[in-house]
Amino acid sequence: MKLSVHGLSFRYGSSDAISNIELEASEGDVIGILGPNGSGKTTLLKCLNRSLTPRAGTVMIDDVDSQTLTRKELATRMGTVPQSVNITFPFTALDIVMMGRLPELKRFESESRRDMDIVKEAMAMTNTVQFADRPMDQLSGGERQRVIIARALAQKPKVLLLDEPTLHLDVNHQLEILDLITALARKERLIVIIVTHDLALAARYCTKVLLMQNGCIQAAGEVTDVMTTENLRKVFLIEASVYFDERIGAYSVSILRSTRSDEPEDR
Amino acid sequence: MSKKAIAAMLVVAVLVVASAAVAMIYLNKDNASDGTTGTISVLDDRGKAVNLTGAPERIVSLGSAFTEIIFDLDAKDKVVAADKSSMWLVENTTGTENITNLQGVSTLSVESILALDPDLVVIWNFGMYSTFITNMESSGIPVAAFYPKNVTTILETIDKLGELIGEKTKAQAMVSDMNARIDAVLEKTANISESERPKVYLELASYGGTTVGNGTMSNDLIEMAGGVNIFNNGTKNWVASTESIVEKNPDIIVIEDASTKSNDDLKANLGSTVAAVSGDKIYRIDGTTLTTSPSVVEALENMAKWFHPTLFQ
Amino acid sequence: MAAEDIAELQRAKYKRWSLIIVFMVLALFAAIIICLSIGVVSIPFDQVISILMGGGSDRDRHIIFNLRLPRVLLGVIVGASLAVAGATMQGLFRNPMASPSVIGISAGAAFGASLALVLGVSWVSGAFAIPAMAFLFAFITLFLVYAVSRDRRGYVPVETLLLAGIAIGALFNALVSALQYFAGDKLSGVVFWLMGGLNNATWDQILISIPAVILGCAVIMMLSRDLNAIMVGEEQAGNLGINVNQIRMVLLLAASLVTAIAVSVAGTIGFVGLIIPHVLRILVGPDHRVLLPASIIGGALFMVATDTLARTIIAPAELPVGIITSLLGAPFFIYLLMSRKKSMGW
Repeated sequence: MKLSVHGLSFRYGSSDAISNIELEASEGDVIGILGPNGSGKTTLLKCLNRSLTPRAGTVMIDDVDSQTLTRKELATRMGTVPQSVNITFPFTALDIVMMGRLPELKRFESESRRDMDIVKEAMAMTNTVQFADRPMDQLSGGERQRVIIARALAQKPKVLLLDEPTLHLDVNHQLEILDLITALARKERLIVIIVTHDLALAARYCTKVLLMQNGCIQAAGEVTDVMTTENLRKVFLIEASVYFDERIGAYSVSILRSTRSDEPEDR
Repeated sequence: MSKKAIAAMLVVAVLVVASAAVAMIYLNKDNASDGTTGTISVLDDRGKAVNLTGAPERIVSLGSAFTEIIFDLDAKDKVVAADKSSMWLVENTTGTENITNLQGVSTLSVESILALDPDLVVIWNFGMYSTFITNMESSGIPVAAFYPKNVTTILETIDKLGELIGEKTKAQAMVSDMNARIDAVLEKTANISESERPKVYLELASYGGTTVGNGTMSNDLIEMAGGVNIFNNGTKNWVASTESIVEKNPDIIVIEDASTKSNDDLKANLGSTVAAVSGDKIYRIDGTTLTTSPSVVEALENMAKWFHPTLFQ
Repeated sequence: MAAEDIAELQRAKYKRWSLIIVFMVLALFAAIIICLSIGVVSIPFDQVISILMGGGSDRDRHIIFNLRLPRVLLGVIVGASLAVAGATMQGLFRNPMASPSVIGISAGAAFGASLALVLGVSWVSGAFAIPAMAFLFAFITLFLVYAVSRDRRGYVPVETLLLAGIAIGALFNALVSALQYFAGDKLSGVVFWLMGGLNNATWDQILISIPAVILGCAVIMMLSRDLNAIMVGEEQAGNLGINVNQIRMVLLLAASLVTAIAVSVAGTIGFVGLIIPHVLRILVGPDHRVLLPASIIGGALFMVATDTLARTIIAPAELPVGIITSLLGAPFFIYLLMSRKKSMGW
């Protein structure tokens, strides 16, 4: 199963927010779209899931152009976990996860046995079964995030998109979520795309990284190829380097300092 | 969507439709007739014959003009209920404690009227009451609808309503008397030339001070009383600007007594360049005499006195 | 909580909902019968039952079937319409202050009816003309609001929709005032009509209203799941395959349809569309699959009860029912503003 993106561009006003994005991914990949604020990462995500209509380019899921799919069909292939979900109505966690079955249900169709099994499985995978009858507004940020992930999983997608999944979470929750996501990518053979500006996250968890700046791809490939000192300096304006940490069996980032102090005073 | 929701929806729909169906069966009885041929039959302003078996004993009056006519014909004991606009008269007349206040006509339902067991309902013939009137008649209540607009038609209404309540003779006498009083004024004022007519500004109390234009009853009264309405180039009612009043320079000002403006307020506002102010010719008139009711003759006589004191004392 | 229990949880929920709805329907039925036996003309309860079975005196039969029954049924129709429209607006706009009047359609309907009265249309075609004009103008208003608030791509952002509704509603209210000023006598009763009333209910009005109201309610209830998803988040709903723009327009149209009907037969009755969905949301939860039918029945119950109060409290005179709903509604509205508890969701 693969995802191919060619020449994707989007324009808000008079200039492109993203231009000419290329991306290849296959099942099991955890792709990090990395970049500073304003680099177009979220715009790219929204073009991938068709929240926004790009002005040029294609998104192919298993050689099917996503533009030829209906909204519902796209929703059965792609699930999105937005940045932070502010569900203040007392819907229960189960209510929310059940909404993941909407793309496949017809207008008057009730949930079948199979739908319930899928929901159960999604909740089991995300360890949210115990919240099933708890209202969302009584759950912690991390717990809520897991429920939303369960909803996306209940869509039985091939591609899972996450927009800054760790933004408002405590560190322990962050690790929990990312461990979960990467395990899912492997077990369920998903393509996972994570939009983030968290360098450590990208280094540690992603199998591929797309580095963006000003709407363009600066570099794409393995962590060590993309997150070079050179690139990090150029894009993030920091002195930093990626290294392999034995203790976690993955890459980590050490950030030395901001390069702004290298700039002349009269800027 | 869950089957239960569909089921619930169907239940509600069935309920409503079933009730409607059951009722339709009962609806196909004859509607109550307008009343058997009786001894009194009068055409109201709808052109419809209102037939009563005898003089009504339980009248519901839904308009102050009609209440006034009935009271003037000494039939107040026959009135069992009246609308809000009639209450000023009811409260100022003795022996009317048992008359029920029905508040606004537009809030009334047929059942309320039925509960009073009336044998005649008198109401304004406004378009927006047509459904109410039809509903009352379908319930077997005799309804007479009138719409007097000016002095002539008020006399006609007195005549018809008087006959309807069994006071034909009294009504005719009242109409003659009113005609006589009107003629008494008209014979002196009809031939007064334009230049001898005082210029009159009339102000009603509503909306902070409206004046009247051509075609309104008050305008007619001014003309009949031997004056000329400074605003007879307009139509209906509107609020005249101080400037336009000053420009027209009225000789006499007639203001509704219920207005919150005092005579001094008027003088201060208009200034002494206005003839009515410098001549101190500001008269206050009872607003209830400016309605299409029998007391309109009073208004005429008062105005005639003010406009031409030498001709009338 | 084991995974197997989840299906059980779901079943229990659906069962609970069914019980609630059945109970409410029975309560409504009972309320209708009770209110039929209350009125200015005293008809004892056992008499009412016998009349419904086919007996009773002619006069009493006439009162029950031709006067009270249409009035009570119209109350059901109007209450149900306003409540379901209110619930829909609150869900669509995610705003607890939303009500059927929020996008200006009741103001438009009021203007249509007033225009009909001024043009003297009423005594040309009878009962039908005023509702028809009210209806027409409700849709003109909806069309105007939509046209004003759509952007180049045809998408209608919620905030703009709300603002456009308020502005155009204000415009039509101003036009009604202007009509009142210039038309004098012909509109003397329109102020009372604008306060709302069921006092001249006829079977004609019911027959005209029923199909449209059933259609509108059916369409809205069919979209309960979509409304749930939209309420959680518009973009998320889009990612779940829902065409938010389209669903929103359909819901608005349906809500406008039922509101226009209600306003055209009964004038503007305030607060029903605001209060009832809120009360029911507290009692049965935010899920529209149960909230919408509950609002329909709850609105009907409320309207029938308040109208019965309106026609008996100063008998034989009547209070405009809008006064009672406002007296109950305004303090509740203030309470809503002040409490705004998190658990209510706003």
